[in-house]
Amino acid sequence: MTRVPIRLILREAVAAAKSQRVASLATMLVVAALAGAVLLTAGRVAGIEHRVLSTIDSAASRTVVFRLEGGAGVDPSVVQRLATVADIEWLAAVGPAQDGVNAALPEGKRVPMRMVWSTDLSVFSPAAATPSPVDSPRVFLSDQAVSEFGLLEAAGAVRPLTGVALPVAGRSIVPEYLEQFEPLTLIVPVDPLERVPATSADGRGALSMIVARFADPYRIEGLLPTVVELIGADSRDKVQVGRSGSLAELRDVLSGQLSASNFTIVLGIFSVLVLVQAGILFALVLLRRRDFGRRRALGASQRLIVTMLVAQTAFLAVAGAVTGAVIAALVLAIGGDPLPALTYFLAVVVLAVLAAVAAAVLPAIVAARREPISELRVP
Amino acid sequence: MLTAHEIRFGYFADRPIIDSFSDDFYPGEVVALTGPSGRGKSTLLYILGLMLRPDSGSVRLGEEPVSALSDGPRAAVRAARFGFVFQDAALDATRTVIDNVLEVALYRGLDADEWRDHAQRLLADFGVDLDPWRRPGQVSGGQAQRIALVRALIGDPEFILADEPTGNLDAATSDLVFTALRARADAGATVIVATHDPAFMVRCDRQVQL
Repeated sequence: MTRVPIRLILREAVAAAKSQRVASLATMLVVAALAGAVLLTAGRVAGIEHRVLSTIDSAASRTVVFRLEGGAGVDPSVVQRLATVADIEWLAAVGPAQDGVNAALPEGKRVPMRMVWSTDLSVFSPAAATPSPVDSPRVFLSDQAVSEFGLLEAAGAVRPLTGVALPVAGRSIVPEYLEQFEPLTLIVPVDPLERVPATSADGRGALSMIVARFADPYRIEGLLPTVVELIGADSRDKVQVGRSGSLAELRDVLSGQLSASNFTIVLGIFSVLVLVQAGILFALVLLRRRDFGRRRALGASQRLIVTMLVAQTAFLAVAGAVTGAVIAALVLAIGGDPLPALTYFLAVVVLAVLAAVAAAVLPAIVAARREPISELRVP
Repeated sequence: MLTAHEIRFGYFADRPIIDSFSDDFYPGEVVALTGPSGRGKSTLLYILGLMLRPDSGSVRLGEEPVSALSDGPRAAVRAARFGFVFQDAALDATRTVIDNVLEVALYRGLDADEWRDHAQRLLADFGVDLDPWRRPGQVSGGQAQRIALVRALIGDPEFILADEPTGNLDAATSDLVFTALRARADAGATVIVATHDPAFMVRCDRQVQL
């Protein structure tokens, strides 16, 4: 049996599509319109969902605070231990408060100071992530702490009551989970991860808080027991886990509802696409009965006819879906609406092509079954 | 050799229009299928051309009963070994003249470009003196039938089947068509023509009356 190379089938499909301009244009318009409709409705919702969820994710739903009650016996090496957990994006450990004063005002107001160890100190201050120019811990102050120490700027030096004066290296932002520690004064060790000081007589430090930001909010619940285990507190009762439960719940609700809404819209629009496309192709098959009869008579197998019609439809559907996607993207961009992810665009294009191809199969089979004698004989 | 063996066919089971037809068609001969309208000339032609399956009996190419093949292999035999001329040319109005001529190449699994020069020469030989990029709607009926003839001949088929190929043609074009078919028969092809045209019939090697 002759096997017609796919290259020749595709070339014939493209040539046939070009020669049947009205039908081809109708197919392209239908696919473009419906792919565009999906992107302008479900795609727009997906873009908004993506933006809302990103906002929630970046805010707090991925961040978990572990409060360590006094005597939990957790030292700063916990940062290195937890850093081995692949799902933890960032973490910090905060030490217990120790009073300090402005080095220039030994009798000034006492302000609590805390050591901080972190995998990325730039979260608190961009300057904190750079190597220290002096072989000494540095201090970063919140706006409120600057004021409490009686400083005009985040400069000068502060001194723990039991230690030496430390240089003030800059201002620190105050993340939501550290607001309770205001006025916030963070002491950054010279080498945050390697030279972890022991802060108690028995060599075990006494951290007061560990903050971890996870990569995937959906995996947090499953990972918490492991993380608590790795923290290695004397007793699990001394580790209080806190996360923004309301945000996490909001995220789940939003994600679920918007996804369900999107699915309904997409299903509806693609159902319309299949019906309209099948209608167009049935009309084309009826109008071009002699064409298919002639092809059959000249040696086209039923399988070849089906393949050619499906390939012709796929070619037009690709052109239509890409056109529709580009136009929809322009409309969304001009309107200031959030764009869905590129993968969403690709998925819509692929689905539109698959829907059009699915719609083409039945008319193509009908076309392939035309009997040459009934189409070609002249009464 | 093309053999029809005990062929029976009817559009309604109880009314066969062809019953127990048997004949052998040899290379080098031009055979006319004749008879009044409704006797099944065209139907027999389409059965011999493997476009219709007989209700019983068989069509053989040599010893192979090709009418019993499934659709794919039968289509392949049609494309590779048969050439067809239809009553009204049956050209694709949306494609160019040259595309129409080259259509069969696709069904043989060949790149049409391989035949392009040959097709242009054949069109010129048959007096189709026009821009080959024109479409069938822009040519006369006589020219359309010549184009259809070129399409049937271009792949040098072993069997050429023609259904009333001169039905709507003037005498000069009819003569050109017969001369072309005769030449192919002389070159070894088997030519079978369903026709009402008495002038055509008498020029054939033999007539099969239905």
